[in-house]
Amino acid sequence: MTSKISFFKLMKEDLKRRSWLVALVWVACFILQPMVLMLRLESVMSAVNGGYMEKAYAINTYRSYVGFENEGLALFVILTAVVVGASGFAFLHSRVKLDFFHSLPVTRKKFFFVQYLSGILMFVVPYTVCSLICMLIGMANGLLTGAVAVYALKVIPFRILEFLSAYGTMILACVLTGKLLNALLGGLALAGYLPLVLSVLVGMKSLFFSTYLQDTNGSMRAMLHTRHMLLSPVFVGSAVENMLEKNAQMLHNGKWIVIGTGMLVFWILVTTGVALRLAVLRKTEAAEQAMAFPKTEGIVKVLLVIPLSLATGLFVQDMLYASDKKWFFIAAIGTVVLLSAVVEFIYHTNMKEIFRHKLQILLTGIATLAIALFFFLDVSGYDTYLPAKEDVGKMALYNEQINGNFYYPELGESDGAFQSYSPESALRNTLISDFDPIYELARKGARGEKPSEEDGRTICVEYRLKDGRTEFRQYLVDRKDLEKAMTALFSDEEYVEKTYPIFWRETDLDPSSEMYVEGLFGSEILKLTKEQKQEFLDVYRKELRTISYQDLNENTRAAFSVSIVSEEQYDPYLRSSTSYSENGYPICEKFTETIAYLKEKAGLDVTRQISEKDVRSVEIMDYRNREEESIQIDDPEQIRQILEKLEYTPLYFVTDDSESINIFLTMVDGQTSMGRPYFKKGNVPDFLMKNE
Amino acid sequence: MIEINGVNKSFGALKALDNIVATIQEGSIFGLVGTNGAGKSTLLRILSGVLKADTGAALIDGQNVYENPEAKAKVCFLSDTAYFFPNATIQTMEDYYTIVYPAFDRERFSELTEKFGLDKKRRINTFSKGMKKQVSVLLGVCTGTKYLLCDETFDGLDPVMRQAVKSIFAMELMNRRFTPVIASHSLRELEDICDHVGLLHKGGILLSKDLEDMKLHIHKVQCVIPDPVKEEELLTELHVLQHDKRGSLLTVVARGTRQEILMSIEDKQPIFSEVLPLTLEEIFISETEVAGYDVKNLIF
Repeated sequence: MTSKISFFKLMKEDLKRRSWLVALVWVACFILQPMVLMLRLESVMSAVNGGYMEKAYAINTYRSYVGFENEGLALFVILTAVVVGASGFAFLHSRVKLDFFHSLPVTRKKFFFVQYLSGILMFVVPYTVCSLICMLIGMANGLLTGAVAVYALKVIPFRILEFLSAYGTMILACVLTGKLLNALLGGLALAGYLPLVLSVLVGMKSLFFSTYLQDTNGSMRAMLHTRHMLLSPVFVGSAVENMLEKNAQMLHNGKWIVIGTGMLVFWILVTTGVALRLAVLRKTEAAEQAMAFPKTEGIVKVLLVIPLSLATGLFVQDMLYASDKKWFFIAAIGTVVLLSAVVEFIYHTNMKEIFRHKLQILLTGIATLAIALFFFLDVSGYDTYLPAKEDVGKMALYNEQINGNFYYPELGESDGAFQSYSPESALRNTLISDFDPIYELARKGARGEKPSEEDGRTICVEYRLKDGRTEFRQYLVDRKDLEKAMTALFSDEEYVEKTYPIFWRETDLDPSSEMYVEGLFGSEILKLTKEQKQEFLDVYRKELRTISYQDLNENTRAAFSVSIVSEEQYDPYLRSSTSYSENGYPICEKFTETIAYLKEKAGLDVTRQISEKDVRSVEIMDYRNREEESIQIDDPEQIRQILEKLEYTPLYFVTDDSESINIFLTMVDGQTSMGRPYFKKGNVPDFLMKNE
Repeated sequence: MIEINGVNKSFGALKALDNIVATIQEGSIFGLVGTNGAGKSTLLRILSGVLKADTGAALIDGQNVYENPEAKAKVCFLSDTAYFFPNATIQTMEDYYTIVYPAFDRERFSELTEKFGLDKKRRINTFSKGMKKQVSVLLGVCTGTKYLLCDETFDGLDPVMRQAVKSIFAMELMNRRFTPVIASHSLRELEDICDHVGLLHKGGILLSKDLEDMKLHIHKVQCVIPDPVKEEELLTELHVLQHDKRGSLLTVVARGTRQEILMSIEDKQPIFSEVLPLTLEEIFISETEVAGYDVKNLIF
């Protein structure tokens, strides 16, 4: 008899029952896809037709709308998944509905699949149809090039996978709970739990471990890392789409896309599989209860409260900018009590029962405190970690004064831009085998020897162990120790070649890349042909190999900078590209061939002396007293006195014996001095001494 | 046949059904009576496969009903609160029932809705509570299932409708294999419909008997016997369940056939005697008092 009950007829009936939602999704898809696209293209196309805009721009606008860049549509997909999932499985929260549906001669499994598949159809059909209409609109406007069509067709299945992942999560939340509100909160918890735990871990390391390598782009970025989102069954789709978009722009290595897509499929299978299994096991009487499986109430509460309390502690500590960690502990423990009460209220909706499980609250508080103390007391020995030298294969050192000037490739290890200023990227690119000087610095750092504030220098280190593991650390080391290590490192050609990307970044130099020489005289563009640029680089590289740390510090006359345009980043539609500039290539006095080449081929004398006749004015920002004092000097005599005492480095090095005075020279031709002009301590012109 | 073999069901700390053992024979209208919270709904929900028994088994024609579509296809459950899809008309529900119960008799359903004056195209949410119950019963009857489990379905129906439904049930019983099980908290609601009644109390079955059988063996008699000695003899002779004397009028509820009781009374030379009709309530009071329960506190 049962076999006669058609699965598809049941699906059709479900679609009829939820026809309001079917209509809503169709309308929303139509408005958000073809309609908005047409509105956007209308103005763009009229500008193109009027000759005010290149067609390439219109193609790019169209591409970004039908592609992964359309984040609004990604959000819509997630919201639709939540609404469709909740509407399809909210019957699990109603006793009356369950009495009806579960009494029918249909197994729970079959009923699950009926609801599940009809829900998928509700989204997939209107979304796909509207996506195809968008493609037709693009075609009608002549914007659907072959590449864009392939790209747009790739977006459709990914958006559907994104829907399936969020949809499965919402269904799982419905199955796990007995009330719709709890299901929505449960969905939120499932969506954010693992990224939250990972982010709290990063935050705790960041707060309590002084040697933890901080993300230079800010702690919030570190906490909201795209890779963390791969652990979210709801946001994994968006994270993968984000990676795919970067990949489409050649900004991302494919490794994480494969991992991300794997995670997306994994979450779809896990959420759907677990939801199906639990839907069969779930007792009908769970309807209208807080949780469908009452034994999980306590576990869920503890698992939620601990990371949320720690996250609150981190947030409060961050907000207060306090070095004293007591606020972290106060906020975390306070949140344990508060959140436990909130969760109990959600469970029982009875104010009298919010502190019913006092022992549970106490144990949660103890567990939270134990985790916090684990980090606070550094039980794992994170800050004192130093692998045995024989276990280390390679090491790298990040010294911001040098490495901070250059972009290093991400080497496919991160989800960030293809090129990055981050210490992590620099370290991965500058690993050397002869690492004794770095190891010695790290040893002192790990020992916790604290230099004075004035002499302390922050460095970052990477240990690449022989067993394949990688460890990053950040140490505060003494300036003299660092200088000693740098002197030793600069005598190692491998270090120099890896540190200066100009040695290995040949492919990135496009004919449109521009080169500048910067010095006290300002910034001059090198007017060289492509061949001359190549010739210049060959000369420069040869001399740069011979540079010593002393040369860099004391004998650098000017710096050479290059505005790099990556061919891979060239946008064929916009006919432009993202360029980035590196300005830390030193031109030392001993680079005679380089200096001669610049003089001969570019007509630029980097060794020329600056006299008061070349300078129109000098602006002095005096920080020696607490208050900042700004002085504009136009008097040639005073300018002469300044130039007489002036020291100069083009590399923005903060020399240790310099006065706290910023100096800006404006030349007669309007150029402003580049780099860092400074006065040595006690060697300030007399007329400025009065200010002391 | 429905067999309930040692069924236990708890909701958290609350024991809803305690080792229920009962049999519901085919071809009878079975009334399940009990106070609120006695476990009637729980038992029906187990019998319809909505709930899973913690231990024990509910068998429909020898098959375990839980998650067994074959067994469930023989059962239609009408919950105490009838569920209709949002904005559904009778037609909408009929269409759905036709899909899930392939033996659904559309022709009979149309005939019955017409008889009851129910407009098939009208939205059910505009119907009165009683009309919704009518729709629910008619849908249930027309599913063509062998067993129809009605949870408080008749409570609140007006006498005319009750009579109409009763006649539909009678018709179904005549025309096909049909066994309705009707749960109610009031015996009065069941006495004119059921022919077999089970009494549930605190999760256990106190009593399960055939009504006709009970009615044949319990009688209420009023008589006036002038001789007090003979009156005493009568009360000793009869298997008296209850007796009451007001003035010279003696009222006796006794176990036995009508003929046996009347013969005993005639023997005592009464001035007057007559057999009075017994209500189901009175039969139950008598039966359960014998079992040691004060049933008045349980079901009235």
